[in-house]
Formats: sequence, C-alpha cells, structure tokens
Amino acid sequence: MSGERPRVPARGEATGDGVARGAPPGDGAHLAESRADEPPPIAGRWSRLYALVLIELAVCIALGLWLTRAFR
Amino acid sequence: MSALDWIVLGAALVGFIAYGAWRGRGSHGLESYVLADRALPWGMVALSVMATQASATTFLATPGQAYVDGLRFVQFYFGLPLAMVALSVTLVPLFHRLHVYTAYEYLERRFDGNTRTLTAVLFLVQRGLAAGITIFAPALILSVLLGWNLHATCLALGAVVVAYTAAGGARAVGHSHTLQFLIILGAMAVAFALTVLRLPHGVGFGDAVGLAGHLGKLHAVDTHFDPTSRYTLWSGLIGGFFLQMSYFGTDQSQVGRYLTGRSIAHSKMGLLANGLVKVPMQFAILFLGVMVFAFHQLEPPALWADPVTAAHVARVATGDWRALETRWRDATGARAEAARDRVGAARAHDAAALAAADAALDASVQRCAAVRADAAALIRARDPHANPSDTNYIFLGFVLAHLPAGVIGLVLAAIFAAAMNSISSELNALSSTTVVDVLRRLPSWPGGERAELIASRVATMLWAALAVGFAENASRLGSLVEAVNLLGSLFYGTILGIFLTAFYCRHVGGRAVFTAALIGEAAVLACFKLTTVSFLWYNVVGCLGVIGVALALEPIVGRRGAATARA
Repeated sequence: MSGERPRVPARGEATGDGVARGAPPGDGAHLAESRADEPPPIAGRWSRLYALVLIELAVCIALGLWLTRAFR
Repeated sequence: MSALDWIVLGAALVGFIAYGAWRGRGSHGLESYVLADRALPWGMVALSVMATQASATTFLATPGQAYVDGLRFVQFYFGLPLAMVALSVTLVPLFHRLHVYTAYEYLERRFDGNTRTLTAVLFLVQRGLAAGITIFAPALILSVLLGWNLHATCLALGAVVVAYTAAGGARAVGHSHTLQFLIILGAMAVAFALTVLRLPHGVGFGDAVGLAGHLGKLHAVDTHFDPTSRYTLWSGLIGGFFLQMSYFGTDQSQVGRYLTGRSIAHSKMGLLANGLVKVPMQFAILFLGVMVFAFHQLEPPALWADPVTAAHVARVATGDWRALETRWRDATGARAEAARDRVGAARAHDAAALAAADAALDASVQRCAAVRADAAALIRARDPHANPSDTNYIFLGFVLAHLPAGVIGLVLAAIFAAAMNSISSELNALSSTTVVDVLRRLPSWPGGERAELIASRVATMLWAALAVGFAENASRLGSLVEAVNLLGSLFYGTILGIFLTAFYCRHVGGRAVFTAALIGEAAVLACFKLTTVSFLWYNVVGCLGVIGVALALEPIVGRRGAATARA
C-alpha cells in the first residue's frame, strides 16, 4: 500500500471538521452534522427541496396515468 | 450528409476535444485528476451527473424504443427521484466527510480489504463492459452512415475520447460535460420541433398524438403487479429505486461526479436537480420517438431500418426480399390512407367515420406487422448472427431522411457529445478505482503523486482499449438501451446490498458480508439464466439477498472469526 495516504485518518480519529472520519456510519456523528449543513441554493430548506422532488414525481406519474387512460 | 452537416459535426467534435483539453490542463495529483480538486459548483455537478447517465444510447435508442414499445419505458426512471433524495440524506454527506476518492474505500474501513476488493472488482467488470456498449452506439452511426468499418470506428471513437480524458482527468470531464450536455438538449429540442413541423400537410401535433394514442403508443403507466413484465409502475418504483440507488450510490462513474462538488450542499443539490429533470427529460425523448412513429404512419418508412442488414438480405435472397418490399409498400400505403382518414374523421368529430377509419387502420397495422415479422424471419434464416432488431436505427434513419441540412450534423454532434460524456466519466471512474482500490493497495506499489498520476493515465488508456474490444461484439445485444441497463442490473443489486449492510446493519462484519455478496451475485445470475423475471427485479434480488444472507451468517461466521482471532 502507498505510504502517501495520510489524508485518510485512522478509524475513529478526530478530524478538523469535527467528525471522526473513520467512525462507523450510523453512529449518529455524520447524521448530527448533516443537520448543520449549509442550506440549499433554492427553496430555503432541504426538506422543502426533497418534497419538491417527490411532488414532481407524483405529478409525472399522475400525468402518465391520465395519458394511459385517455387513450385506452 | 451535406457539406454543411460535415462542417457542423467537424466543428463540434474539434470544439469538444479542444475545450476538454483546455479545461483539463494542469492536473497535478490524484485529487486533481480523480475529483477535480473537489471544487465544482452545483450546476456543473448536476449537468455532469446528467451527462454521465445520458449516453449516446439514450438519444439514439430511446426514441426507437418508444417507436416500438410506446412510452412505457419512462417507468424505468420512476425510482430515480426517490433515490436522489435517499442518497442526499445518507451517502453523500458520508462520502464527503470520509474524504474518500472512491465509494469502495469506505468498505475497507467498515468491513475489510476483501470486501472492498470484491466490490471494486464487481464494479470494474460491469462498468468495463458497459463502456464497450457506450462506445459501440455512436460507432454504429458512423459505420451505417459512411460505410466505415465498424471495428475501426469503435477504435477511432475510443481514441478521440481518451485524448482529453487521459490528459485532463476529472476536471476535463466535468467542464466538457457542461458544454456538451447543453448542446445535446438544444439539438434534441430542435429535432422534436422539426419532427412536428415535418408532419404531412393538414396533420397537426394533436392529430399525431391522437393517432399514436389509438395505436397504443401513449400507454405510459402500467399499474399491474407482474414481475415478468419488464416495465410497470411497481418495477419502476421499487426495482428502479434499487437500481438507481446502486448506480448513483455505488458506481464510481457517478460517485466520482458528485464528489467533485465543492461542498456537501453542492453535491446534494447536483443530485436533486437530476431528480427534478430526469423523468421529464426521458419523457420528452420518448415522446420524440412517438412523434416519429406517428410521422411514419403517414409517410411510410423503409421495410427494415438497418440498411446494412437489409442490403445484405436483399443480396442473398433477392426474390424473397423484393416480394416482402412489395407487400410492405401495399400495406404501408393502405396504413397511410387509413391514418389520413382517421385524422380527417377526428377533426370532423364524425364518430361513424372515425370508427371505420380506426378499423381500417388497425387492419393495415396488422398487415404491416405481419410483413415485418416475415422480414425478421427471413433475416434470421439467412444470417443467424444478424441483429434481429432494427430499433437502434429508427431514429437515425428518420433524421437522415427527413431533417434539413445542418440539423443532421447538429443531431449527430449531440449523439457524439453524449457518447463522449459517458465514456469519459466511465474511463475516469475505471481508472480511479483501478489505482485507488487495487494498485495502491499492492504491497509492491512504489507510491508517490507522480506514479499515481502516470498510473491513472495508463489505466485510462487500458480500460479504453478493453471497452473497444467489447464494443466489437455489442451488435448482437439487441436494443442498446435495454442491454446497458440489463448489464448493470446483473451487478448493481449485490453492490448496493453490500453498502446498505455497511450502512444499516452495524453488527455485521466483513466475513459475513463477503460470503453473502458471493451468494447474492450467484442468485442474480441464476435469475438471469434460469427464470423469466424482468431484469429490474434483479436489483431487488441481489440487494435483499446480500442483506438477508449477511444477517443470517453473521451469528455463525462472525463468532467463528472472533474465536479464530482470539486463538
């Protein structure tokens, strides 16, 4: 293995961004930080953006169903 | 092709290569080469993610897919927006914070080196073969269009892409994607508008939609739950979700794109923009195929859209083929007349005339289908190795026959751009996975930034050579757009299962998940060889198989492993 990989800290080692990079996922550390993410460029909050994506999908499916039934 | 088309195509190709080489200059280390120094804004990330997924196959074969099978292929993408949201919440922040180059690095920290290597190898096999199809699609265009040797054309295309990808790495790839994808969208919009404008005199957009709808091409959503049906609402939402989760969450050609984002927010925003745009974009491309279908009901096409195969059969079975062409002319003539009668009756709101025209149209469509079936049987009888499907040639044939000079060159440039987008991403991902997940972990690896950069460039060229080799045999795979997704489905479920186990089953260790991955992959291959289950469900089988087997094995092999370690 390369000797030039110091940028990846050892498991559990603290890093500058306040998260243990090698910490096992699902231990809450990364989830806690995701709440502190910067806001999205549009829509103000991530939850609104997620809702926008899901609502648009629902509209697309509804339009597809309408098209299918209109020409059945 | 006219001189104007050649000028447009040539200028576009030279521009793409020059722009990629210019923007990719100055790559000075692995982070720069593999992830563009993690500095791209979300708009560029979004376009790069979209450009990577939308290969030439998307623009070449998808309209043909709609021509043959209607809009129902759009259901394949219904799981994508769900996957974009799920990945934005889970894997994207994790990958960013772990500061990984590839998705597979994470697996070594979570499990062990064996699991990381197995997953990386599954990716390399799958993506290396898929890259061959990505090269084959536009090479097919040139070989048909210009009579060039298909093998030489595959080789030439691979060489053109590798020229700027090997030199500039991820930065060249990301910047090229932005320019190329905007040109692709523009070209497809022009093609759509001209297709509608070229409808015969007296036939409008609404008439064409009505005609296609009557002939069953507008059935977009199938709500029946049938695992053997290739595209349904449920296979799209469930199977498609697993496929897209795996593709965007564990396929380095996509992970490498959004890890170039300058922050977590920029990477997430890039993926969510893809979630917003993808389904409407695919719907529009499919609808273009439906419009071409409606056009051909009124303006009869050639009997077989693949001119090389048609010419070959006409040469070796002249009498039979001529007889088929005569039957085809009669049947399509009657079909065009019935289609015009239907348009007139619909416009006049004459229910009786409409019913009569519909009956005549249905009868002539059946006659046409019978002639096509006989043509396919003759092709198979005369050449068992010939491609039994001409789906991939339909859209191209329409463009060449009916769109004006200049626009043909623009559409071809767009198809080339799409091919270059996908190939460059794939080569960049294959190269980075080879170096980061395989070479750097060898005990004999010398290390050093210079060695990594050289190895990355050499790996890019070697993977391009392998992809070209596979492209030589891609013509026997039928519909390209289905072939590429089927190939992905053979591996993606297993890879996703490994990642989800890592993420959500914290007590499961490396031994259990490694064994489960082998069993899960065997189950997927058994489904492929021994059952008629639709390929989208392979993703579910592989993913749930790995998770279930790993959970079952952990109490056994995990305890044994711990005992061995204690001893």
